Amino acid sequence: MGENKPSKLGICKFLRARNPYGMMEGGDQPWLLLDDANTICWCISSAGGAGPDSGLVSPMNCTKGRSCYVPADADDL
Amino acid sequence: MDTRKEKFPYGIPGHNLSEIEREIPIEEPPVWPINDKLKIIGKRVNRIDAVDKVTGKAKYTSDMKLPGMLYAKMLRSKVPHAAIKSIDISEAKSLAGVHAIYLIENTQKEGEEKNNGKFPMVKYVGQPLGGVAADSLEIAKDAISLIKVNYEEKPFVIDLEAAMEMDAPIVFDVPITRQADGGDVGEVHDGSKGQGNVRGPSTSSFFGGPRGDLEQGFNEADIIVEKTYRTQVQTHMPLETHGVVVDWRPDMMMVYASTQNTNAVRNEMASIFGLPKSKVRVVCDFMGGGFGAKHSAGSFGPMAANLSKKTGRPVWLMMDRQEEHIAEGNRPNSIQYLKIGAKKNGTLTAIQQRSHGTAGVGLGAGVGRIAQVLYPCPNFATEQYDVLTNAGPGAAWRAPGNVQGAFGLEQAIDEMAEKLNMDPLKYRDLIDKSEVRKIERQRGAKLFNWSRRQPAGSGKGLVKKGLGVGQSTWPRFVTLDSSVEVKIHNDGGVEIRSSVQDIGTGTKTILAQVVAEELGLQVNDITVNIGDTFFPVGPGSGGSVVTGSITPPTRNAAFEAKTALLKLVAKKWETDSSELFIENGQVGSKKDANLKMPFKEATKLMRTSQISKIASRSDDYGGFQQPWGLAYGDLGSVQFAEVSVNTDTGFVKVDKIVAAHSCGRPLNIGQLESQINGGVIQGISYALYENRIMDTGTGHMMNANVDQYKVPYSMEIPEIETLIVEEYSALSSTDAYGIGEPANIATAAAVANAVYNAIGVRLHEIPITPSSILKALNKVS
Repeated sequence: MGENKPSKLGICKFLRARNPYGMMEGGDQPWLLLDDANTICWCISSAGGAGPDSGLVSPMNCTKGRSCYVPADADDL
Repeated sequence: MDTRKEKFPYGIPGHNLSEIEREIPIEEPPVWPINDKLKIIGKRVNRIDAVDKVTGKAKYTSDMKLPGMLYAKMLRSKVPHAAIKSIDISEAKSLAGVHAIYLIENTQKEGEEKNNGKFPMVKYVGQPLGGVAADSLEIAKDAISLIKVNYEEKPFVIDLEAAMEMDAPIVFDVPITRQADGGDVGEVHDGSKGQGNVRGPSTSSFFGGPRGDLEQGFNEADIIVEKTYRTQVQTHMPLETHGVVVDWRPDMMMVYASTQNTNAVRNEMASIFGLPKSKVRVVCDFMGGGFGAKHSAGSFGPMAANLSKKTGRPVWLMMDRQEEHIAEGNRPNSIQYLKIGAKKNGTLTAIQQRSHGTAGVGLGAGVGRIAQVLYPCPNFATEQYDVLTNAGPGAAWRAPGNVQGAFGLEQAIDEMAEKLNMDPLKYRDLIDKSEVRKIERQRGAKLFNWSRRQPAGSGKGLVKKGLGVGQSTWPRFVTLDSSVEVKIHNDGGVEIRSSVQDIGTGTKTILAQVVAEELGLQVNDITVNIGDTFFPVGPGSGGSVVTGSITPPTRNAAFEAKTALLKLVAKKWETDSSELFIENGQVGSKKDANLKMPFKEATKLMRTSQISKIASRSDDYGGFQQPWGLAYGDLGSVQFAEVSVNTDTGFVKVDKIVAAHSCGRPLNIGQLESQINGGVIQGISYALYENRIMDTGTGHMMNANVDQYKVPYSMEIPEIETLIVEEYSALSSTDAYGIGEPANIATAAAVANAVYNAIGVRLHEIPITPSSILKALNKVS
């Protein structure tokens, strides 16, 4: 797990971390990897491991500045 | 603080059972004694839905039939890497019975500079491109066959090792700049700086990062085991495939889903379509199994919703078996390098692990944390790399990473034991500090009769017998967003409500057991209504979290409801409610044995039609290792395997498995046995049969069916004996945990160790096939 966790506000609202522990939903950080080596990152907008821009999906990549980035509203999570 | 102190059972009955005092929130129910003093918990209670299941009354998502419902099929890529120049739907559109065609297209945002093209880039065979809704599934299939996709094909790579090469086609189009020493780009795992197809390494987890000094650890070692192990890609094979029925009405999107997580599907659909969560309802009443890949709406959920929106009619969209294999998730493969050092007395001095695996177009192909935590070792480091390939995406798959990791680690530990001239079980006694696994080894070895094990390869005759052992650990995870409602109706009925789903493991039954035990009723007095997002949010069924997450609030809600009911009785009897109890369906008084009232009669004292209490998962007594829900302790297992290997044909038959497990307080012995049986069978299947075969020339999976993608049939399933060790940790009001993951982790390693014991030659790769056995025996080239 990275030392510098991405902040909630900077992560695309469509990113989901499918971690091994059944906890990818429910909290306010559905993109939280918990264990990066064993977590599948998924874009629910493109429904895949590649984003709408065909780039790789991950918390470090799915951030502001990426063409397909959509900010999360605080009450959307 | 509103707390009180209580003494809880602590430890393992028959071994070290004692008591421990915990300070717990005042609203928590009184401590339960150990299972032999309870009436329903820990007993072999039949599933409450067993009759519905065996009579066909149970309706699964694929059984859904709604008025006006259309049937959908997805359009999928037939090439592994391409840009789509155009898609011609004219013929399909004009086919009689076709109601809607939806193509997945890129949406250009306002002011966006980059043009990603009209259609998404294709990155694997089977990637969804669109869907058709029609009057029948046959018409939908015909329509799909009439759609013409014009591809601009690009170079692709399928094979794990080929993808690591310097000149490999790039899956995600970023330049290759990689060290030429085997793939270490030395960048962050998630690819923000990594280039080429290799991403990584991941070196740490919530268990921490590297420990000590590897070099010093190996210098201190007298013996070193250094090997590379390989595991294959395993696809998902639940009886019921992925799928949904979506009925998008003007006021509500209704989703019937075969899912491990109704709440996640609801949240995803709400996010994707910009709906309030309250306008999406997801229902999963009966579910035909899921092993990790069914936590989401996938691509089929939004597709069915778009088609339903377009047509104004309900849309049925279930995957067929081929789609399930190629696009709905898999367990990534692995190449694992392991180096283990130990002193002459067996003390571990260093463990080094490096792995590469591919989850196709996704990340997450690590080998778990088992090497990090199973055996204490002062010097440890892991590097786990993802390698991107043009293949279907991986997904969580029953103990992700750890099954692969256990296969390597537990063989390496056996190899170390052999070099130390020690029995592998005794060696684990030396290096494993887990008290519960120690008891599992003792009791399991006795049941299995481990003492009959002979030196490797010493058997006579054509068919050689072998015995092996493998161990596992799995963290105790708790989903804190787990809530449940318990209602006592004024006609005596009791109802449980939660969005938690029963994926076939028996969640409904254990919830009924918990409430029945708390209310002094029978299991069949309890109605369980779960798997519906209109009810309080429950956990997803993954990571073995359900039992530990949802049974404590279930008991707590039942306790609160009972307390409210007893207050009404106390008022009538003019006594204190704390003196009252419910037992065998009767309210009674500790002070006056003559005071009795049937439960049903007591419920008539309500002024309202019901007592309703909602409880949510509270923190563990004593807190967590990590505040997000990593509990103290683990879920350990020791599995023993007996195999017969025909050295002439190479055929391996697993004759017997003894599976010794712990899961805190066992709630339902029969259901636990059933889940362990399933985990063991999957483990055998992983060790000997399952294997995704890809055509590296076309990118297609060659065995995407249930004929050539082998799973064991009944004659290949061995005798399985389970041994469940009760372990009390005093962490919650039920102190119970799941068994889904642990049941599956150690089996392949135990089988591989048994095969070695049989033939005296170690196979470092699974699946172990007749071909690999004969090659190992130098009988074929």
